[in-house]
Amino acid sequence: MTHLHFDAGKYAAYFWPAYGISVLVLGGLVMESLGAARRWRRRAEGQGKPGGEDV
Amino acid sequence: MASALTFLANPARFMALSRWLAPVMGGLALLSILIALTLGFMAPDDYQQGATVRIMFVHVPAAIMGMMVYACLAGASFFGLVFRHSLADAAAKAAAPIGAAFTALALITGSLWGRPMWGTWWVWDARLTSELVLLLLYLGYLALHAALEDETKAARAAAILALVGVVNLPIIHFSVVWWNSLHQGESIFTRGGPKLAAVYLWPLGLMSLGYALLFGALWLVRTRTEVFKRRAASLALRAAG
Repeated sequence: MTHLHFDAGKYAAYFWPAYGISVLVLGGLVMESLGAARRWRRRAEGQGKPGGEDV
Repeated sequence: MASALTFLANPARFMALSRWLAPVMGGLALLSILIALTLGFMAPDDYQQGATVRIMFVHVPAAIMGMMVYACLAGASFFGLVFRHSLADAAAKAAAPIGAAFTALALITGSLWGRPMWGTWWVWDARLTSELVLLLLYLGYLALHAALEDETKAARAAAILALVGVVNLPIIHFSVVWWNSLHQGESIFTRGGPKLAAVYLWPLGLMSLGYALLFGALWLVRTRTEVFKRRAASLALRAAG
């Protein structure tokens, strides 16, 4: 079975930050998007009740 | 295509569709990215670039998405400007932060790849500079939207900026053909097919698919948020009046 190459050797100082920052930025974007969606949905529905539709 | 756009132009239909489509796309994105990472870490080191060749799997998809998202932003801006459709304006506004994030990632990961391979973090050549211009266009679009209080006027002004900025997309793509550049030439979308070995091409393709699906999911979620914002604002106005 082919093994996974986690050892970046002398390039580790460039390699891991590239992956780390990608995870941080994309993960942060997902969290922020979901958080904002939940917050604004609650506001739109809370203010809209009892007539507010659930979409 | 036109009928699909007409179908989605109805906010109620869009909200009903996006409610289940966004998590499905998000799940597929996660799956695709995990498979790509596994295949990517199984790929051998390059004989010249060593382990840094695997930075390609996060750099290239981010760069492709930076341009693709801008094309989507410009398309939505066009529909918003021409047909005065609020959902198109919402979609354009929702795409901008995602595109900015992908473009910033392309620049940062590119710099981290360039330092060990080129011996420099940055060079003012055509590819890198046009990519930086793309990031500035995104930031300008967001700043313009934030600066104007009237949502309709802000959307119109930002849409014009977005459409003017489209000229930068072919410049980015062909920059390595038109000018001498430290950046490598085209190796994926070439006439004779990709120049990459299959062992790198598969993880790269799957990671690109994962990024595209992630964008789709985030775009739907953020467009829904814009609709909720407008709904909350109109309800607050109605309550105040």
